[in-house]
Amino acid sequence: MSTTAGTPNTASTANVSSLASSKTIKQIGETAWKNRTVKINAELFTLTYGSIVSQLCQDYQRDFKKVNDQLFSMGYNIGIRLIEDFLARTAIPRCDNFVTTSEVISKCAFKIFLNITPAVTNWSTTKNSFSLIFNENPLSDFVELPMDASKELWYSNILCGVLKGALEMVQLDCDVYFVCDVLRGNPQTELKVKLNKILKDEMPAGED
Amino acid sequence: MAIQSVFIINKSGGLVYNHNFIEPKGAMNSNDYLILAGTLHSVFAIASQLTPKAVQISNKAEQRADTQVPYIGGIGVSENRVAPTQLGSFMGPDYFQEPFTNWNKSGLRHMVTDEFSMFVFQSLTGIKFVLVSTNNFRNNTSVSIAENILRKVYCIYSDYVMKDPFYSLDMPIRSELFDRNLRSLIESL
Amino acid sequence: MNTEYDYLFKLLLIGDSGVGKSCLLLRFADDTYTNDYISTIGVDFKIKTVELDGKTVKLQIWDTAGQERFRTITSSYYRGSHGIIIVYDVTDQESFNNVKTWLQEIDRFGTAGVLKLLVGNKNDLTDKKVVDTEVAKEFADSIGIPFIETSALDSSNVEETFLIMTKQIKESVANQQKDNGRSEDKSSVNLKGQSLTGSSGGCC
Repeated sequence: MSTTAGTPNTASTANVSSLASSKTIKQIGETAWKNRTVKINAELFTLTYGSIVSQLCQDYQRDFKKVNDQLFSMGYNIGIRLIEDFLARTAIPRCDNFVTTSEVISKCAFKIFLNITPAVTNWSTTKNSFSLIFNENPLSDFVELPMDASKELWYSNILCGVLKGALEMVQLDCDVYFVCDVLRGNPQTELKVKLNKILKDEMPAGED
Repeated sequence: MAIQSVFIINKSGGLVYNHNFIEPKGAMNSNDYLILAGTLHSVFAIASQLTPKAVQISNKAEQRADTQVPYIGGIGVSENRVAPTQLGSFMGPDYFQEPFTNWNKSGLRHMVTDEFSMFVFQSLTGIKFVLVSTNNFRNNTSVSIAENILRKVYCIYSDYVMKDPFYSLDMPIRSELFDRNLRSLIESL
Repeated sequence: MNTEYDYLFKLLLIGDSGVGKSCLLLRFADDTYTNDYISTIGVDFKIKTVELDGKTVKLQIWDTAGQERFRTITSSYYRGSHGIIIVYDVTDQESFNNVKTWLQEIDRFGTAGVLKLLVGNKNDLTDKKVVDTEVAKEFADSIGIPFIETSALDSSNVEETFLIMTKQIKESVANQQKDNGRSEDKSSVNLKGQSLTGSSGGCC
């Protein structure tokens, strides 16, 4: 458990009804992470994830495509649940546009749950897809991929599933996938989020 | 505030949780409650259509104060105890400590009759948390208090329901842990 | 006093007004009395409690009004349905023709892979029957959904069909966790054991 001393009431203005400024988003994320969220030991977390991936590789007899799918599916099931924690914790208003969504994902969601803020970049011209660049990734701190896995396995694919599931629950239908990963020898770790459509018919009544 | 009941209605209008802290006068069976929840879900949707466009637009433009809910301290946190350092996965002394925006802008939010008042808090994902009180509150403070309570119920739900790996989404909640934590929130009011 | 049931499934009843949707379930539901909300909020509820493999299942049937004035809240009623029952009147050709329109609505508002069932009602009025069993059956087969005909006099096959549907929903809820998030796997089995995937777009 973290021993960070909470400083209550410092963020009385953190949650405003508009998410116009990314500074506010950053503040919400940091406050929630620092003062509201119980922490666990990072090594235990990394090792737990590692043992899951390695077990899956065994179970699927090193069919890494299946492992990727399974990690994605596990992530999806986490995402559709974790979104409630995220919303209960931050009470963040609905994003007006996908740019805000990207900021919230990076500065709030990744901050709160993994204490990292991946950089948002590579926007498409229509502003409906972006990349997250991970300079650090707590899932893979101690990992080196075996030769046979290094072309096919997306080691952190669970993250794609989590994002897919969480975004779907707030009525955003997205494709989420890794483009490259330092574990595979690529120069950086890049995850793509592409908005397919806003599920307007799924929008709960009462929100304008 | 005397809390009579807490309901949780899933995004399809199904009643997944129902607890009476004070037994209501008329006996109701589980089917009656299901019908009540479905009706509420429908009335909520109709209410959002009835809200005049002008009100919705001005709400949006000015980020009107009535969707802002002030934080009210001391709710569900017992005063004669030491402040908790941890509430589930939430670091104490409270689940949250800042004002927040109510996501429900045009749906049914608050209803008062001579016998009771009812408050609805809807998450962005479409889950409705409903609180019924035996008091007939009419002032803004009681609405704020109720919404503070309901967001805390949401916090407890996000921990003890959502993180239970054996819980199937959108299905009835039968969790001892959730019950206990909800009870301790309501009883310390 | 807390929820006494293990599962809660949502079934939606749609079709033109006047096809006898409400009567269809009268004997099937737990309570014999009828609530009458339908003209006010566009939906009425009927509930059936079923015991299945030692679990208590509540089927909450949303009986919707076919009226235009409830259009704007339609999506609220479709949301999260586990099964959708489309009803037409065998003595009313128009109500059968409109089944296509209802199917389009399911495609728009319903969950992908939701179980569907086509029901021809008022089958006891043989001399007034205008929609042939064969025609309806062929149509249902072409879009891969199960079909039954029934009447208020004998609705035993409705009950049977509903129970089969309930079993399938229960299985799919149990398997949900495995398949979720992999859209190519989102197949679901209909009453005949065929996959519904890929049949959703086409009607004739």
